[in-house]
Amino acid sequence: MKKSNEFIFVKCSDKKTAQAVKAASPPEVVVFDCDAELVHRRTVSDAAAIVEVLDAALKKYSNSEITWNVYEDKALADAKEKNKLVVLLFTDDKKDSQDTAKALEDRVLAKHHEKLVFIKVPYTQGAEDAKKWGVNQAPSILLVDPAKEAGTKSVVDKLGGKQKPLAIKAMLVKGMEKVKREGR
Amino acid sequence: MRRAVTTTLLVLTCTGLALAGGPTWVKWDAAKAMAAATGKPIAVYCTVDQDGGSC
Repeated sequence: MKKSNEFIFVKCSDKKTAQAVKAASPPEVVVFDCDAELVHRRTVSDAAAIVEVLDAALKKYSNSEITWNVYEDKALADAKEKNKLVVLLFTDDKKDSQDTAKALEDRVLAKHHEKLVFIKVPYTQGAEDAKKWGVNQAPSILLVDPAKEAGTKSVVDKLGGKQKPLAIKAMLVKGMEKVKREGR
Repeated sequence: MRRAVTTTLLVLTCTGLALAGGPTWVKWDAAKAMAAATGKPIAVYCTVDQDGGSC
């Protein structure tokens, strides 16, 4: 049962759960992402419709490719102008860097992509850029507020080493909320 | 593979029947915690609406 492993299943046959998921027209399948935000819903009349709903939901809740910007002052300035935070990824040519770049494209992060500008920075130990941003390993992910002076002062939070999608998501969401609380 | 899923879910529509080998059902609150920990989506199968009316 392929789909059994891909979803967490809830049977909603009580009013309380129906209200929590805003059930409208049973029999209905409602699919939520890992933050319990709505992905897809549909009234289902037969088994084929159920499979279609699950397939459609997986299509919507899927990995999303990142358009990487080149590391230069202009990319940071553009992000500032767009009022977006920046993800700086310091990378080298090793697998951990590739895996971490891929993890940033995971479906758990996809809905946050539009709020961020992604910039890849080639990492060289002891190099000027690494010193400027306080980075001493690759991969490193930095969440940066481009409204502040470029460098360690503008780093909202960071993660060093190979990372999994949920760990990256936790850091980015926490950082974005922190900046929002500060009135940005 | 698809046929197995179809069969299992079909018998759950409105009839309330369960079938061995079907999905494991959890409560809504538990599902939210599991989804947050694993990144998996939650599929809710509703047989009642918010007023308690059933199909």
